[in-house]
Amino acid sequence: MTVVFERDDVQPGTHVLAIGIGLYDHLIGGPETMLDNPFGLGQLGSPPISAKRFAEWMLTDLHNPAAELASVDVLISSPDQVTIDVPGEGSKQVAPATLANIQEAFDGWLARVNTDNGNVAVFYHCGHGLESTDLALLAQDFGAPGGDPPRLWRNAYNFHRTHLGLRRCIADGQFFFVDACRQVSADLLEFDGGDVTSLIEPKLRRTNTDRNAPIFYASARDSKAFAKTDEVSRFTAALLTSIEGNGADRVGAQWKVSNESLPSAVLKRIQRGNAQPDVPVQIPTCDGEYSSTSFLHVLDGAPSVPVFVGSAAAQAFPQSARLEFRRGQGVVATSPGPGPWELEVAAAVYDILAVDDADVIGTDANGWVMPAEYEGTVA
Amino acid sequence: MPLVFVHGVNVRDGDRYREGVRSQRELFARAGLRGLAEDPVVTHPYWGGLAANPRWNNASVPDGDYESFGAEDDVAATLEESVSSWPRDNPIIAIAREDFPNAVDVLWTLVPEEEASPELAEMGARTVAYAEANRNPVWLQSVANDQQFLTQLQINVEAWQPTGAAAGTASDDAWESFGLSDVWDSVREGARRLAGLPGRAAGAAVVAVSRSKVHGHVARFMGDIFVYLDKRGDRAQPGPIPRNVIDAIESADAARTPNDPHVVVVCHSMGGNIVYDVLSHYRPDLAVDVFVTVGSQVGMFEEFKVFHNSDDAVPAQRGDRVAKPANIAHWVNVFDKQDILSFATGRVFTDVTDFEYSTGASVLGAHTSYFKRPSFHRRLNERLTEKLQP
Repeated sequence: MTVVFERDDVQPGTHVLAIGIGLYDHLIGGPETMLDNPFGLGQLGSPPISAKRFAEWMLTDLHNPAAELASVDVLISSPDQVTIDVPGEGSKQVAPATLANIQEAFDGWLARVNTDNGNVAVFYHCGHGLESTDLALLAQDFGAPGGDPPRLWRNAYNFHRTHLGLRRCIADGQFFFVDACRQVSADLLEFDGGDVTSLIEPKLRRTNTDRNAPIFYASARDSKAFAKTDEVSRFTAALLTSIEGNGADRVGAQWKVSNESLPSAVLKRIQRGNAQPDVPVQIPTCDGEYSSTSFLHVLDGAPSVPVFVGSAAAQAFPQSARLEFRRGQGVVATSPGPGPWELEVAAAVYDILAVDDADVIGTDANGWVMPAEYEGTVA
Repeated sequence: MPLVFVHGVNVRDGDRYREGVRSQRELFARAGLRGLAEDPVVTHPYWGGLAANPRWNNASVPDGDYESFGAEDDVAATLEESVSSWPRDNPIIAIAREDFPNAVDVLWTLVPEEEASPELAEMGARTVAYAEANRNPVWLQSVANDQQFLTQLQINVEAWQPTGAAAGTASDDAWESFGLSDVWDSVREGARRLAGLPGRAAGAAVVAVSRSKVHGHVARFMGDIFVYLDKRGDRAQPGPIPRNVIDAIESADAARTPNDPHVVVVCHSMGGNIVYDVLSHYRPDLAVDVFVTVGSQVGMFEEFKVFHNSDDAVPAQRGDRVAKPANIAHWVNVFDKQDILSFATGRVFTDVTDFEYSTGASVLGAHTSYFKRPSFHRRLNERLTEKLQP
């Protein structure tokens, strides 16, 4: 395990376990003996980058006064050594995400989380996943030969049962982010999730019925998650942008990211991205269980909200037109052209106007720009 | 480019037919017409519903339950369409070591038709091209089981650069997915159907289930021919089957565009006889750029003079042949010597090119397997390219 950051004086606190796997020893292109049937799975470029980005965001930007950051444990499997930049402490090397390391890190993370029911548990995994009855997330050493008896699934873990098992965890806030494919291989139709290790065995009685434990999946069951090979994945990028901004709701005088506000923002960001040219379609979903609100992050100010404004069907504005967002006498934001307009503006109530030179040529009758996104029409 | 596919006898509507049509469309569009059509539009006029309808539901066929195969029998019958023998253990390697491209055809033939997709068709064309260019790759001798074979096939096909193609470079913009390749998963799903299938030695007696299947097919084959000949009408009043086919070719003719100016009509088996009748008698005004008959009996029908346009006076002397209809610019006839229902045409008609295509199938299986095979579509593409882009 690699606990890159830990503070004993924070109670309750937020405890993060981040796993990213791009190196798979026994899959296509891996350095060790390849599985006879590696399910067509090969090496990945993005998960180490995505996990590093996720962990470093938590280290530098997470702000939750009720549960400040208390620990970050990171496991990353990559052909190259990966380091995590820890503010004030420099770069720290992290251990690879073999199943043994994952289990050890999970146990340590769970022990820390289990110290206070006000703690917030954050679990993140980016890498290959395969699903049948349950979702199996593959460790770096998935498919290693040996074992007595030999078990193909020895070095994968059953995410669904692990999530269920964490009902034994006393922390009321539990956030799960799974950036993996969830395809059902023809070779796995007889695969029983019971063959796959659960990081914690579920217990049926006397569990934490107060927990809020949403699962954010990068992909719906039987679908794929995507990334550019050398970049942060689509899901992780959308997740962090949403936590930083439009995944928040106004609570009193603050903007807070919770299990209730975040799903809509993440889903909408990825769905909007699907409409971009040359971007593979990805269908994220949210699942898990919650009955009340747990907070993950508190913003410093108003969140940035994606805004999409079109003109009424019959309306054709001149090329010289622009869209203005006005508050009081001031113009807060503008977007040039005759529309439709796409931009991000801080959440607020605006006068939204189409303007040509100094003339107002259209008005959006709504103007309440609130998360997760705003759609309007100027007429 | 409009392509009309006219099916043969013994075709009836249902989920299996529709999935087969979808799969065929992808293979025609992605492989058969590759590089020839800006907008490949493939249509399948269906005339099976107008054909024979046995009033006692084939009660005259001994053991008339020939359609109720078990899954294993179905796979055996499918495999029999491609090879005459296979071992129980690791049959794909055995087939590949004997004839590597045929093993690729077998794999694609086994893919369930509901898995059809443009990507699967594209990969089929690429894989068979790889196999034909590398008939005995080094890795084929080192793989120990079918799973390893499939893994190495995927790795090597994806890494392969055809001769003359620009070398691929790793792109910074490449997308990766955190899961399976859908195409290869479909291929593996097809291969899994072989698990547990008993082996079969070359020359072994045909399985009983195939015999009853063929018996039933022959009954419907004859019935469909009888119905067509009896109810085909004449030029003034075409019967329902020629009317259906005429409509499809007319639509294809109307769909020509400056960028896709050619009409191709591909026919299987009895479909060739129907279209020949249509183009030679009912609608000699309808122009077709390439007429492709596959596993068809046009030559045999003409020998027996059963077409409307058949002229008993031909041949008047040795060497005489029937002139190819003028509205057919090019006629390509494909037959497999193993297919007892396919016939050559070159010694009966003028200006027809006969091509032998070996499905590698058993005598009983050859007739039905042409259009499932990526290698067939690759050959078809070569022939169409010769004719349309000389």
